[in-house]
Order: sequence, then C-alpha cells, then structure tokens
Amino acid sequence: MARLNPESSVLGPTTRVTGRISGEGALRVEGNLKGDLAITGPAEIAEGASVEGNVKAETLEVMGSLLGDAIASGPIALRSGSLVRGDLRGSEVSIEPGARVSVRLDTQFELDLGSHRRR
Amino acid sequence: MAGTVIGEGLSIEGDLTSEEEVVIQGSLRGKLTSSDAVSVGSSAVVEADVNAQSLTIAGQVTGDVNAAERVDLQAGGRLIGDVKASRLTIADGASFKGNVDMDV
Repeated sequence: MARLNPESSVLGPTTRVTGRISGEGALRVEGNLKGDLAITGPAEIAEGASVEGNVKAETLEVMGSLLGDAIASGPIALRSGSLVRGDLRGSEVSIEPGARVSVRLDTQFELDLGSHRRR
Repeated sequence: MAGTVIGEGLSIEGDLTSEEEVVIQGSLRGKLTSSDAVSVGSSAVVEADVNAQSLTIAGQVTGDVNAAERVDLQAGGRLIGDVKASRLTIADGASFKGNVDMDV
C-alpha cells in the first residue's frame, strides 16, 4: 500500500468518478468527479482537477475547477488558477488573485463596522 | 505510489474509471475499471463489477471480475462472482463462490 495513512484518500489524475463520494477522512481530487462529495475531513481540488457537484467538507482548497456549491465548517480557499462557480459557505472564504470565480458568499463571521466609524 | 486511494472511511456510490493503480480500503458500490492494477484492501467492501489489468483481493468483493493479467484472492479475502482471467490464485483462508474462465 503506497499511502500509510488510511484516513487519506486520493483520486489520481486519470481517475474519473461518476457518483457520490461520502464518509470520513480527507480527500484530494486530482482527477475528475461528477457528483456530490460529503466528507468529514478536508477536501482539496488539485490543479487540473475538476468537480461538478456539491461539496461538503471540513475545509476546502481549490486549485482546479469546481462547478457546484460548497459548505465547509472551516475555511474555503480559492487559489490562483482556480475556476469556481456556485454558492460558498465557510467559516472564512479567501480568493487569491488569479482565481476566476462566479460565486455567492455566505460566511459566518460578523463585520464590526461600528468600530471603524468611531475612530 | 498508487495513483488513487480510497481510504477506509470513504465510500463511493457510482462508477470509478482510471488508468492508474487503484487501492480501495473503503467501500465502493457501482463499477470499477482500471487499465492498471487494482487492490481491494482487507477493510474494503466492493459491490461492483471490476475490470482491471490485475486484481488483488484481501477484502470483500461481490461482482464479476475481469482481469487482463491475473486475479489474486488472498487469505481473508472473499469473492462472490465470476472470474475471467488467465491466471488466478486462491490463497488458503480465502472464500470464493463463482465460476472461473481462464480463456483456454
């Protein structure tokens, strides 16, 4: 077995999954997923990878493409070169320069606008 | 390095196709196709027809399996389904129910 950590899963670059992936642990998508993803650990969509479906994970890092909604209990990061369309909900959402996005953001932090005004 | 690893806690309902080595430790229901080696680990539960270059089974497989090279059913492994492969080994301690076609 190449990877010793049983919690860690990878869909390699030539791997295509049509269907639903769910369960515990982390997943790194380097290939192609057409369908929903719901995992308890962190999810990563690597450069050149694509996901068409909704993603639910602990955290989400996108370097490839995501067409679908994403919900993370932790942060969502859209890296440079990523292509993302959908609704995003996370504890925080970061979008790097160079990311191509068409998204609706729903983050859970409060904007403290009052303190700026008082200064 | 295995190209694709489905960890123990993960389950897939659907089709998986690949051109690289696939290691399943979790569960898969649907169809599994790889032009490289496929390994079904001891914790894995696969309910799918499997097409692969070669197939190693240490867990549970329910479905017909077709390997271009060989099928190895290891001790503790359990296969219910027909096998089509030119080479087949069944280890002591493995369970198997199905037909074998060695293409002779």
